Amino acid sequence: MAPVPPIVQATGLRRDYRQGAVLVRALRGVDLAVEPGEFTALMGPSGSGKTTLLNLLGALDEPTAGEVSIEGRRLSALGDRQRADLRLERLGFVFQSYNLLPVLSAFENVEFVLRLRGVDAGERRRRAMAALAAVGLEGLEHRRPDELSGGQQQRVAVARAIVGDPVLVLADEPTANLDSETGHALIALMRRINEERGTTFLFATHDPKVMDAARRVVRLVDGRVEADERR
Amino acid sequence: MGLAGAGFYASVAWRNLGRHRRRSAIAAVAMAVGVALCMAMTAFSDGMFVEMFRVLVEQRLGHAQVTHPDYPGREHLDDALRDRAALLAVLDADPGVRAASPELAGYVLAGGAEKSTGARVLGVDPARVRAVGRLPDQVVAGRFLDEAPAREAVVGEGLARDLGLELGGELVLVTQAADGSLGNDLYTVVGTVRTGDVRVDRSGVYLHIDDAGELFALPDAAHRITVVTADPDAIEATVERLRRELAGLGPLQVAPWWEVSPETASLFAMRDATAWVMLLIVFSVAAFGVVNTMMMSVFERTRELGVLRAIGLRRGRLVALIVVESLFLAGIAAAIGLVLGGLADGYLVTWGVDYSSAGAEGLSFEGVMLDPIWKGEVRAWPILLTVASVFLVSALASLWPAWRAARLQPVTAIRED
Repeated sequence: MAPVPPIVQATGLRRDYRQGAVLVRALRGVDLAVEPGEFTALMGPSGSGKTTLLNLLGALDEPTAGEVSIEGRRLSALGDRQRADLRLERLGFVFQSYNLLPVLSAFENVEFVLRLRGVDAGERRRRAMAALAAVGLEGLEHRRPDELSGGQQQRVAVARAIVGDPVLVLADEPTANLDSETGHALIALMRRINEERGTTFLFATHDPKVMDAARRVVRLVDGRVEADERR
Repeated sequence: MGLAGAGFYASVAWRNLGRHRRRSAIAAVAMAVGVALCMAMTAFSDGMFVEMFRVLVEQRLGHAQVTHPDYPGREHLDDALRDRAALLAVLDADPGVRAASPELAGYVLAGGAEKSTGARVLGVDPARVRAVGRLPDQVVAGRFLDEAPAREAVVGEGLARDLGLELGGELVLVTQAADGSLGNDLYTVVGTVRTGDVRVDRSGVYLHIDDAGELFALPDAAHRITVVTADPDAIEATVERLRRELAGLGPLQVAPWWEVSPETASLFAMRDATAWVMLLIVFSVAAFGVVNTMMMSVFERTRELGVLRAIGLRRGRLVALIVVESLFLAGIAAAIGLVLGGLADGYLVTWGVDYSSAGAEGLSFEGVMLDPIWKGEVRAWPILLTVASVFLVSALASLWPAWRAARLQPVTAIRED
C-alpha cells in the first residue's frame, strides 16, 4: 500500500517580520508534514513561532522563504483568490478569541461557510445543525454570540470550522480565553470529533494540560522544531 | 452569489448597520438634511427663476420681438415696421403665438401748465398690451388708456409730479416727427403709473399707438412687436416659423428673448448652475458622513473582516459587503431626506417666502419690480440627481475603507485590535 500523502507539507519555512526597527526571525527553517487523521499539538513558549507557523500553514500569510503545500498544491503558486477558495474548501479555523460574526446567530455563523461554498439551503441547514449537535449546542442555534458564554462561543467556532468537512482544522490557542475546565472540555470535544469524523487537527498551545490529549506533539523553540513526538 | 446569496449579504449589511444605531443614525440624518436642504434650495432658486422669467422675460421682453433689423441698439425713429396691421394679422393667425403687442417709441418734450422736460413716449395698443405685461395693472391713480385712440395719456408718477400734472389735466408733447416736421399735440392725462422701472416712472408717457403714430408721423407703424408664445418651451421653433411667415413683409427681424437681451439670458444660464452647486454641497456632506461612518465601522471591525477572509471570503465579496452597507445607509438617508425635502418643498410651493417685510416694497432687478413673495418651483431632475448622488457618493466613499480592509493579509487583520 502506498503511503498516504501528507495534507500539509512545509519545507524550509522562514518568516521574518519587522517590529519597529527590529527584525524578528519568527521562523528559522521549519520542516513539518501533517498526515491525515492526526491530532497534533504545536507546543512552545510565547514567541516561539507557533502562531506564525499556523498562519503560514493555513494560507493566511506568506513565508519569507520556504514552501507550504496543501494536498500537493504549492501555496506560492496560488493567487489571493485561489488561496481564499482553498481556505474555504479545504481548511477550518478556530481562533483564540472565537471571532464569530456578532450580527449572526450561532446557526448563521456555522452556515456562513456553506453559503460561501454555494451549498443549497436544505443541505446547509442539515449540515449546520449536525455540526452544532456535534459540539453539543442543540437548542442554542438562534442565539447571537453575545448571548453565549465563552466556551459556547468557542464551540460555535469549532462547529464553523468542521461544518464544511475540511481536510485540516487549524486552531490557534483555542483554550487560551477559557477557564481550565471549559478548555479541557473543548479539547476533549475536538479529540472526539477527530476520532469520530477523522478530522485532522493542528492546534497551537502553550498550555501543558492540553498536551495530554494530543497524539503528536511538535515543540517549537526560537522558530525551530526542537522535538517531534508521536504517541 | 445567487439572488438568495445577495439577500443574505444584504441582511448581514443591514444588521451591521444596526450595531451602532446612533452612529448610523447621525450619518443618515446628516445626509438626509443635505438632501432636504438641496431640495428646498433648488425649489427656492427654481421658483426665483420662474418669477424672474415671468417678470424679466415675459413682462419685459416677451418671448420674442419683431423689429426693423436696425432698430435694436440704435432705436432711430425711422427704423420702424411700416405695415403694423399686416404683421399683426400674420402673428395672430399663428397657433404658436398667444399674444402680440406693438409699440411705437420716441423722445419728446413734455410740458405741463408751467414746466416742461424731456420724456419718452411709448405708444401701445391698450387692447393688446395687457396680454404681454402688467402695465394696465400698474396704474396707481386714474385709469389706463381707452382701447380707442382718444388723445389720452398715462404718465409715470415721477413725471406727473415733476410737471405738476393732474388727472384730467392737459399734457403738451412736442417732437420732431419721422418726416422731419414738427409734431405736437395736446393730451388729457387719465392716469399715472408706477412700474418699478425708474426710467419709465420718471420720464415715461404712454399713448395709444395710433395717437403716437400721428405725433411721430408714423401711421400704422411700430418699432417693436412683442410676442408671447403659447408654449415657452417651444420659443425657438415658433421664432423659426415666424421668420418664414413674416418674410416679405418689409425689412424686419424676429429675435427670441435671449438674443434681444443676452445679459438676461446669461442670468438664466445660472439656473442649472445653481442646482449643480446645491448638489456639490450635498455631495460633500454625504461623502463626509459616509466616509467617516464607514471608516470607523470598518476600522473597528478589521479583525472580524480578517476572520471572514480567513474562512474563505474573497476580497471582492468583502468589498461588496461593505459597499452594500453604505448603500443601505444612503437609502435611509435618501428616504428621510425626501420626506423632509418634500415637506420643505410643499411649504415653498404653497406659501413661498415673503420678502415684503425685508425690503421696502419688494425687490427690483434691472429696474423691474419682482413679486415680494417668492414661491418654490419643483422640478424632478434635480431631486432625482440629488438622490442618485447620495447613493453614488456613498458607494464611492465606502470603497476606500472597504478596499483597505480587503487588501490586508488575513493574518494582519486578525492580529489588529
